[in-house]
Amino acid sequence: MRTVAKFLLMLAILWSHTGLAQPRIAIIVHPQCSFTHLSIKQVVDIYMGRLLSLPDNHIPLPLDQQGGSPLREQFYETLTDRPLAHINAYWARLMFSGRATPPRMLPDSLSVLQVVSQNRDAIGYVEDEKVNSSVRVLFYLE
Amino acid sequence: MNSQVFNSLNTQLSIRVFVGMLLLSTLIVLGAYTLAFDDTQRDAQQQVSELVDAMEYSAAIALYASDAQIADDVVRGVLRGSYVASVHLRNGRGLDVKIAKYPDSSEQPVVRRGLNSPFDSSESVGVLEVSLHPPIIRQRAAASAKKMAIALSSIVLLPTLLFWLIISRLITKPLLDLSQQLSMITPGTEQRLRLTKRPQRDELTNLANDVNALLSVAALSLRKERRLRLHIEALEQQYETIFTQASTGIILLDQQGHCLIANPAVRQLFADWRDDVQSVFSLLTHWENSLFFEPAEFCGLVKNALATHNPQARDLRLKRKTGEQQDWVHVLISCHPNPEQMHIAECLFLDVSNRKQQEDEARFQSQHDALTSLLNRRGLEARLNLNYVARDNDNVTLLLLDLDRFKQINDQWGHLAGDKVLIEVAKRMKALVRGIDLLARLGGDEFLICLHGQPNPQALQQFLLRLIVAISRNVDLGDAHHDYVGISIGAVQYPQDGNDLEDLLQKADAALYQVKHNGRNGYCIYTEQALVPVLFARD
Repeated sequence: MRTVAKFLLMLAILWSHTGLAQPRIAIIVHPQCSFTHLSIKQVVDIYMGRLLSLPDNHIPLPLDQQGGSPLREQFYETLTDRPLAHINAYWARLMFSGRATPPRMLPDSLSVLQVVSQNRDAIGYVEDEKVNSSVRVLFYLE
Repeated sequence: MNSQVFNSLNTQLSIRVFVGMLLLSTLIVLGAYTLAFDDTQRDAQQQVSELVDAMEYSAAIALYASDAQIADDVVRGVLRGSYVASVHLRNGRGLDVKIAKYPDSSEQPVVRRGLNSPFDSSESVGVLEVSLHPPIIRQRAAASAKKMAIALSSIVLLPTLLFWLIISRLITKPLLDLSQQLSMITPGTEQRLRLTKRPQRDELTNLANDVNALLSVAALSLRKERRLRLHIEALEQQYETIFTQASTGIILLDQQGHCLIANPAVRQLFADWRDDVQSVFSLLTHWENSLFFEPAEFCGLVKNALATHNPQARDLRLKRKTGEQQDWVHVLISCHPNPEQMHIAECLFLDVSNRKQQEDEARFQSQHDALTSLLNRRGLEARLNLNYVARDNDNVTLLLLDLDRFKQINDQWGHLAGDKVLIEVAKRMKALVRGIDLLARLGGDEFLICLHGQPNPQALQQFLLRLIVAISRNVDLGDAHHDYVGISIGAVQYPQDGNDLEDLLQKADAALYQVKHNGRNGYCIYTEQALVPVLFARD
């Protein structure tokens, strides 16, 4: 009886590990970036084209991942607590008016790391295990 | 005529029904309008709210991203709402879009919706204000109320019309018809009420039948009454004719003697009649003073009749005189109760002047001697009864006279001469006696003088002497012939010589016999003792 319970408990722990298989997402900027403390809300506003300029006349350059990648979906859903479709609809509406443009899309995390490491105003997101020293992590999305 | 139409049952019914309906409809319209206004207002709010709901996401995006283009789209979209007057979208960060369809006014109700960020429900990004346009709401409400009112009114109107039609057809029209028919019907004729197109026996039919029954009864009694009236009229005509044509004067007097009615004969009978006397003037007083010879008599008759209720009749002499003839009327007074329970006197006046004259003549003839016009024996007895014997205290001297030599004159000169002698003697005696004394021819050559009062013996003797002298003077017999008669007188005195006329005459006769027996032409006054005649020789 006790053995059965122990087995079930172990099974549950194992299952829960595989459930948490999603990686943490790191919000990254240039190491000499002027804005070292950004709130989640500011990040949202930057990615949604609302926050167009930061103090000291820095114009933030948000970088997006390739459309259809699970990382992108996880990023937006974690960041805004809204489904990706919502975000797409938002951009569709804004783009219709022709004034705003969504963040620039890059093919993979390596490209993101490269652009961020080269541009002091850039801001991007990658899986936390891909973070290297060329960038600075603002915070992690969990 | 106008008021008659206005008062008619049908008009009244129609007016009331329509006024009632109008009031009801007005109430319905007012209610409907209020309801519709509230409804429309709620509807407008609802519609705007729904519009805002539909536009909320786009508005939130516009405000979040401060996108003027989207904001403009949103505002124009909301402005499409038919009740919307103006739309105002602002975020306080430079985006402020306001478009008005109608000018602003203070009474505009406003739907205000705060908008949140599309990515953070807790962050407010701005506000959307929508003003409504009340005139449009009112207009819509009025239109909707109109529809509702029309619908409701027709619901009221049609049944009312139907009801009115039924009432009118079933009750009002027949009643009107009945009333018109009844007003055309003359009671007493054979006209009757007729109700058409009413198969069932309802109250109106019963009413018509009852009225018809009443009309029949009325006709019957009217016919009876008419017959009776004709009869009465004929009778009245007869009585009227009798009354006016009667030669008898008819007068009705009330208790006070006022004349109630008089017929034409009265006017002919009494020349002094005045019409104004009839009613106001007391007839009794008037007649007492002017009409009757002995007015108290008529008065007494009337009062008697009224007191005793027995008829009274008498011949009365009128003051009026036509020529020498005296006027007499026979008055018959009878008493009748009149309707007011007071008795009235009915006086009939019959002109009996002729009869009275004939009666008088007959009485005169029966009581007078035709030749000398002196009283005869019967007349004397009547007069003595009337004038003397009835009076107890009176003294009367009776002289019984008998002519001497009368037979000789008759034989010698004929009867005509004898008559002349008798007439002459009567004349001479008349000349000697007073008016109150009586003079009679008892028959043949026998006369009687009745002297009123008791003269003393000397006066009586003187009178007798004068009588003897007067009578024994020559009498002219015509054709230049003269002759003379003597006179023998027997005198008795009432009451000392006797009470009875027969007895007195017998005693006078005895005294007369003494004169005749002793030589004629003298007198003898009766005494209980020996009768002593006093005789005179002629010349």
